[in-house]
Parts: sequence; C-alpha cells; structure tokens
Amino acid sequence: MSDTRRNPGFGIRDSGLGSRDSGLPPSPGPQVPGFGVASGIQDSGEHTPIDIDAAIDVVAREMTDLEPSAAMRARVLERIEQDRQRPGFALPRWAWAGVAATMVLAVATGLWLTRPLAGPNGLEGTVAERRAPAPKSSDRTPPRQVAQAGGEPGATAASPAGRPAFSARAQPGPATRGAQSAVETSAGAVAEDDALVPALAAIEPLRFSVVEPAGLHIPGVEVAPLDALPTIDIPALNPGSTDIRSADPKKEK
Amino acid sequence: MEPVSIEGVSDPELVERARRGDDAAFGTLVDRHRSSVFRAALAALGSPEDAEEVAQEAFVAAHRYLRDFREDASFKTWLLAIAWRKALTRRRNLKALLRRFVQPPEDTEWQVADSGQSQEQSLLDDELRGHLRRQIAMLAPKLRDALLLASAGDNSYTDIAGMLGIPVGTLKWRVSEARRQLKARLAEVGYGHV
Repeated sequence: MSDTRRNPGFGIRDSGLGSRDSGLPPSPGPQVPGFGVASGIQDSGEHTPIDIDAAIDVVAREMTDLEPSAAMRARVLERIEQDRQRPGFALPRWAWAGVAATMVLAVATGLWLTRPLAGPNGLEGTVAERRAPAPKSSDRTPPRQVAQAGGEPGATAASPAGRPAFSARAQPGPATRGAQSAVETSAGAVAEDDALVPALAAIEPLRFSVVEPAGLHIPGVEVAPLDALPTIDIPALNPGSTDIRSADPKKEK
Repeated sequence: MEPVSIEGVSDPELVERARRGDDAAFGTLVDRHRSSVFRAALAALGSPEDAEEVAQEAFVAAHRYLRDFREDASFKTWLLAIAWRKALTRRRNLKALLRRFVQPPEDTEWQVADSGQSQEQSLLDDELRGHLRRQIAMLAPKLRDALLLASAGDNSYTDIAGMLGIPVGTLKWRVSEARRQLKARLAEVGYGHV
C-alpha cells in the first residue's frame, strides 16, 4: 500500500526521508515562511537561506508529475488482443538475433571443417604436399652406385638423370638442412605437417660401394691415392612411417 | 492488507480473474496502477511519450506472464519491476543516448507541464527551479532514479526498493546522497546552507 501522498505544496509536505519509513533524520522543513519568495538575491549578493530540502522535493516531484493517457486501458487491452491473434509460435525480437548468429556460426564452422578435405584435384590435400611435392614414382632410381665425382670426398653424388641422388628430406646437406630448418622451425608448421602428411612411400635401401679414387697423374703434379672410404649403408624406411624428418633422434637434436 | 478498489475487488482477486481470461479485471488493474507505472517510467526516461509506451509494454508483458506471477510480492511491486526493466532497456538504447547528447537535458528530458501549479509552487524562484532541474538531471543515474522515484510519492520505499532490486537501506542512502550532492552544488551558487 502506498504510504505517501502527493502534495503539491512544498511548504506543507515534509521533504521526504524522515516522513516515511526511512529512519533517516527528517529534513529540516521550511525555515523561512514562504521560502520560495525569499530565494532572491540580497544586497550582499548572497541568496537568502531557503529550505533546499523542500525545494529539491518540489522540483523532483514536478519532474515526474504527469498523468498518463486516459486511453491507456483501451490501448493495453487492444495490444493484448493483438497478441492473442498473432498466429503460431513467435520468438521475441532479441531471440532472432541469437538465431541469426547461430546460423552464421554454423555455416562458417561447416566451411572451415570441409575446406582441408577438398584438395585442388578432389584428393586429400596436405600442407606438406603443397610445400614440397613428392617426387614422381618414375623419378625413383633403383639401388645405384654412386659415381665418382671429381674425386672429392663427401661431394653430393648426382643421379644419372642429373638430379641429386638424395632428396633434401632424406639426407639433407648442410645448406639444405639450414633452409629446411628455417621452414620447419615453426612449431605450428611442424605440428601441422605431422598431422596432415600421410605415410611416406617406401624408400629402397641404398648402398654406397667402396670408393677408391684412382690416382691422377698430372705432369709436374703428383697426387697420392686417397685412402679407401668405408662402406655406407642406409637402411630402408618402413612404408608406414610418418616421420618425415629423420629416424635418428640424435640428428634432430 | 491489500488495497480494495472502488469496485471492492482486491488486486489478488483481479489477478486471479485475469488469469482465467477476464479482460475487464485486467483493465481494472491497468486503471488502478497506470499512474504509478507511468511515473516510474518517466523517472527513468524523462520523456512522457517514451514513458507511456513503456507503461503499455509493461502491462502487456504482465498480462502475458500473469501465470508466472507468484504472489510472494504484491502485484504492484511485480508490475513496477517489469516496467522498470523495460524503462532501463529503453534508456540504454541508442536513440535515447543520441537524444540525451543532442538536446539539453534540462529542457527536454523532463517535459513538465507548467500549468496547474499550486500557489506555493509558483512562488519557487524560477532560477532556483532551473538550477535544481539541471543538477538533478546531472546526477548519477542511480542517485537520480532513487530521488525521483521517492519524490514522486506514488510508491513506498519498499515498493521502490523491490522495483530497483536493491535493499531498502541502499535506496535510502541513494536518496540521501542525491540530496547531499544537490545541496552542495546549489551552495556553490549561493543557495541555502549545507
């Protein structure tokens, strides 16, 4: 039940807090009879004392002192009737925003999930394949003898087709290892490769026969025969291996 | 004890009838509480047009969710809480914000009719009235809401606290703080004693 009253006269109505159930000290009340009149400026330039509490109360009440339209009842009942006649299930307006956001999210998620599955040729594409295409099967060479190349030990042997006998991944040299490490140092890229690269194809065992460079005889220059190099055996990699870097963990370090 | 309307029907009984589809009963509830709801909305919004719209929306929402009304609070408190939430929502929207920035608040926020003032009211100095209105409009919203709702005289502190969702003590502090700040600001321009 409302325990207050609307009283337009600020000189009559208590200014508020103490007059209700507030427990706060009541406002001082009018200090000067007809305080509104006394709010002018005195000769000294100061405003005369007035009951500010009462003035606040009056002005604050004025700010909400309006009556609603008399037709509110009819309008409310009309809107209620319109609500009843609205067919079917109706979502509130704010719910539509949520529905729209959910649909956009679902479409975006679907596109994102299906993107890596459809490669350029309809095949499963991987990041590693895009970075370094696998050699064609026709490029594979049978177990081969490493030709002597200028007699320099450690020189990269060339395949008969003129390509390097070893791919950079299988046996990187210092330069290619550096370039490769620059590519693969990113942990994210490595993780992505590990996740997407399929099993490597089988690599046949390689055998390097004993290299015995023949002595050269150049007039005026005597080159002694080099010592025999030991046999190098590279074991076959398992076809199911997913390790694209090396089977030797020590080399990784 | 529940207030008894001029038809001699209490709010709970009217609510029960309205739940059974009696629109006339709900219409009586609208007539009975429209002023309180409208003034509460006006305290939050400052615009009679917006307050009227919010009041209507509040009644329609109350009718829609009448079955959810648990009578652990009075119908009036429940209704005022609905109206207050709707008023705050409207106050936060962009249109209201733009209007606040574009137009001076003292002239447009609270469109108070000048007619019908009592003799005492007419005595209040226009300058002081203008100062007060500007200062009230510049109060922090929480303080201004509490002051205007308490000064409107339509609702008890318990009703207002329930509407705002705060303890009665907090409401009283806000009203007191609003008055203190107003008096301090008025004292700076030479009005009254603080």
